[in-house]
Amino acid sequence: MTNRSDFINTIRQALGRSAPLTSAPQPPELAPQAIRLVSPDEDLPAHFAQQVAANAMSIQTLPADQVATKIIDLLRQRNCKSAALPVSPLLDSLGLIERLKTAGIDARRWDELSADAVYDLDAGITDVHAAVAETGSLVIQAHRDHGRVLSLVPMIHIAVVQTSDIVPDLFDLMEKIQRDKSASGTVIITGPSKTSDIEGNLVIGVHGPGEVHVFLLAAPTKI
Amino acid sequence: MADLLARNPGDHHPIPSRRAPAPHAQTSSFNFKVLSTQAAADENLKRTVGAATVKQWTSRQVSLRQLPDASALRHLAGRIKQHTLDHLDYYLEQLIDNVERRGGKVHFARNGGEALQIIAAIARENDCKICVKSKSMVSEEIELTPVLEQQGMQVWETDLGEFIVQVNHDKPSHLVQPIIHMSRRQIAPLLCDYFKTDYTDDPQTLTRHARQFLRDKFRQADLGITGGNFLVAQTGQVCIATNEGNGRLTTSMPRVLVSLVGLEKVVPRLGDLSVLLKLLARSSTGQAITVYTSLFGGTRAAGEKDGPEQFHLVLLDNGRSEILAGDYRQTLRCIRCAACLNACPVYRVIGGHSYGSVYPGPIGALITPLFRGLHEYNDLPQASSLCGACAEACPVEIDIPQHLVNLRRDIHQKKISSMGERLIYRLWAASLRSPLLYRWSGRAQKWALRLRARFSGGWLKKLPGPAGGWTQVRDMPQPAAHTFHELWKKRKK
Repeated sequence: MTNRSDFINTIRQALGRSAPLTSAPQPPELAPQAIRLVSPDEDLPAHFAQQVAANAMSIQTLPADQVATKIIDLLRQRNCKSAALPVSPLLDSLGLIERLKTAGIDARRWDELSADAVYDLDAGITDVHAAVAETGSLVIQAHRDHGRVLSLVPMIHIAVVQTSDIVPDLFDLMEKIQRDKSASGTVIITGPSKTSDIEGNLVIGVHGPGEVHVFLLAAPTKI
Repeated sequence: MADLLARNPGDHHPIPSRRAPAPHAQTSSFNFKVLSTQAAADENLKRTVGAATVKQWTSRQVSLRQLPDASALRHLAGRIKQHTLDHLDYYLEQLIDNVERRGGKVHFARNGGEALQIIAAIARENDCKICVKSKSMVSEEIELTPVLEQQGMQVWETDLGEFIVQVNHDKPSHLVQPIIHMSRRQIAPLLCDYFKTDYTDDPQTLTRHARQFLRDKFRQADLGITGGNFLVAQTGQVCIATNEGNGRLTTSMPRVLVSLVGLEKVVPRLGDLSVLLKLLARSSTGQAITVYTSLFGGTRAAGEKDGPEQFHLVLLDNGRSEILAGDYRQTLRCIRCAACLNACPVYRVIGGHSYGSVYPGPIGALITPLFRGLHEYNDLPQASSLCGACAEACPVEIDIPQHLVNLRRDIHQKKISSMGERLIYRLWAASLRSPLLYRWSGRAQKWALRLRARFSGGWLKKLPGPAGGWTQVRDMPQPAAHTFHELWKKRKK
């Protein structure tokens, strides 16, 4: 097998150099105003809500004390009997697990679940690491308290978003991800899973959730 | 269909294998003229491919127009990719260091054979039995699946289109929509037979069957294989963009994860990624961004209950460093969005299989000869009318028509084209260089053609040699009695 130095040397020679660069190259300047499609001055929650709806997700903006009730309504309406949640200060502060259990829904937190067990649950209810106004995206990072499967395996994904989570643009999101580099993985979610592989026909719900519902908290919750 | 129905012991469903590819998939003794002529005569194919490409291309047009300054963003994207290629040794070193810092292992494959050995060894050493793959053109390039199957593994394509390709022992014919060449009526019986369900051609139902079937595979799989849309040097991460969610499952469930990526996929920073992501999906399907954009690399952290326990990044050269060294470096900017395929009037008529490689369309006509040799693929650079639609569509400003012209020049200079062709061009060039020769040869042609047309009412019904293609479907009027030069001289007096 080829080793690292031979591999890199081949490339270096292809570029007409015999030695490594002595200083870091200067990549093209990334001027925010040239890249951003949404500026920080805009009404970010409104823009976000509009884009969420445009990408086949539902969105409701409401005060924190109504979220649990609305989520329970939604789950009942969809005939969901069970749900998986991450270990989340936000979701805990909303008293979500207790409320769901009282309502007869088998709600389980990630610390008492295995990844495989999530396959048998009806819904995943998560917080987000960030949200993007430009694209209406939900950004989720994997860490020990938040498994990758929670927003992926169940047919219904419900996300609770605070206005303070919203960044204007993908460009700002990347800056944020760069700053909080602790997570082992990041996913930017923009709508329910879909395909149009069969003759261009749109089908919703392929391997991931077929429904994504966003609850946007009207005012930031103090944790 | 016969071997499709042959059951594998211990498995309810037959395991599709690619050991018996469809006739068009065989690339040895590639004959573009035969393949493209057959394809162009297939009305069904033309209708299916034509409709799908026009739809995607239209969405792309609408979507790019929504950007305040699409051409400035494309220019920036092109500069980012070009800068990275020009300093690729530096950024690859940075990437490798950062992947290792995340607990991943980086492997180096000079060619497809080495990549196959590396991945087969990872699977063997970890005793992997079931592999789930998300869509990867590079794995098609090196023909990975048969090698893993030969060592007794089950390998499942999990992108719906790629899954259908696998079940059909076919090859993808488009970079983004692998089964763009198939109609719903062709897909339905295939999948219903495979899943042993009642016949339906409802895409929703067929997709639901595939979801259920592949869910079990994801749940059991111990090896995941992905490609990569981008590699971020600054963070040591792979970025993949998908719509179905199979890419997320592939990177979340199996304990061993391998990403096989071409070395040209590097970008320096996350900020660069934001620029390219704004263009990738828009150019490809017209979406602002794909449903899932995943950034991963390295192993799961302490205390995590999902994500891979091992992460391997296999960097593939396979001819790329040679392209980097020559006049065609710019072609390595390609982000495989397929905008040039959708825009191309030739691709729309002949489909992807005619190009004889996993990379079809204008970009394929360009990089396939570079990857696999100009000798065997010398017809591909001619498979273009040089109309420029591909260059106009490219989000990273690759000047595809110019490079195709340069390849044609190379074919001539390396004496790959036939003696007769070279003779004709030499004569033509000589006559263009000398006014006297030009006039004489023009007069001789005029005389000969008018003589020929005299007995068929002033029309040429059949031209000799390669010119015969023109008169196959139409007549040609005879040349005028006097040339432009003659008329000019006369009227000046």
